[in-house]
Amino acid sequence: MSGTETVLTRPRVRQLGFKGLSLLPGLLLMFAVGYAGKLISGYIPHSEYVLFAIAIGMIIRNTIPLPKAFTAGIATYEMWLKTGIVLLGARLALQEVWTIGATGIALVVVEIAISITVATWLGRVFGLTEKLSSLIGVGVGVCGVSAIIGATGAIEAEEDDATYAIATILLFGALMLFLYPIIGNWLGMSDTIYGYWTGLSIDNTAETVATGFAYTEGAGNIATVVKLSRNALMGVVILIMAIIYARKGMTSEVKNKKAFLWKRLPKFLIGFLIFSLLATIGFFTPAQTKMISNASKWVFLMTFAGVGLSTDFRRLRAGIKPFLVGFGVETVVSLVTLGMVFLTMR
Amino acid sequence: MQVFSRISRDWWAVILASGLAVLIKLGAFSKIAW
Repeated sequence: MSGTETVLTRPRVRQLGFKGLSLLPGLLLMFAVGYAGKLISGYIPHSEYVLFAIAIGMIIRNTIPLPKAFTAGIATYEMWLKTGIVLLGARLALQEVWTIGATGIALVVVEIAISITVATWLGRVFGLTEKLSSLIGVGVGVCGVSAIIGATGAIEAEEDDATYAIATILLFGALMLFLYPIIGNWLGMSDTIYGYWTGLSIDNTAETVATGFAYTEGAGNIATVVKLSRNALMGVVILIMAIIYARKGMTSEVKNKKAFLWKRLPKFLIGFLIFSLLATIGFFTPAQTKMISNASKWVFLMTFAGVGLSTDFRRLRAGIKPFLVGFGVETVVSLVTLGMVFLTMR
Repeated sequence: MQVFSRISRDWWAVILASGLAVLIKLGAFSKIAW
């Protein structure tokens, strides 16, 4: 027994059965990083805590040698993300999806298809792995970090690929956060056009909402609903990707395809759909929905801090190419969705 | 050290979210601020 372990701690850890105390340092660090990001963003108008939380986490991870005691807790960030996504279902919208109409849904499907197609093609041009290209495509097309993490598990991509994809998405998401309102004002966009454009092309939900409300409240509401419809399709897209990769033999040899597909299906998406269904039938009061929504924000705060704290730049081996692919996909998606929205919303 | 396997993380997420929703539904919280 080492000097740092007490008689009180070890029996309790055993009684808990899952070594919960070993998670504590990492969990506390994630909360501190996330909360610091939230505090900083409170002082900067039109800023989003997400960026600060991730940036602080990345800086800490890449400048300070973190003791191993933090590793277990930080590794739970994926679970917090999935928890947040399940909770997110309560404020989604099966009915909100319908309110944006068939046009919005069609635009979302086209946008996702373009994103994944362009990412795959550009990835081949720059010599990226197919899975990294797919992750960039899913991240740009669907839902940024959460889609990448969801797809990583579904298509058995390497963690480094996911890290690259996430880093690419976040970098350009941060750029768009500032560029979009400038472009919107320059082109004199209406709330509807700006809202749809933002909702279709910004990768991350938090960034989409922030970018939308950075323009006007009306644009922010539309951007949020459009983005939620992309989130709603996240499960379908990832499932299709999982099936495609399984059939291409790029994942493990499959003996029982149904069991394999079930195993690869991200279960948190089932929870997400259940929460959405409950919201649709009015199971939660507006006050309860608001509390669930705020709870999801606290959970996501842990997630984004964890993403930053998990991003080790020294492990990134693919160099500049993923960022070039990400830049290419982002630009194409941004331009194409802008064209689509101008054509359909006027 | 990974405490949860990939599959367990998914179900833990659903369990955590569901538990929180149940508590909210039962009125355990008067308010959750952000």
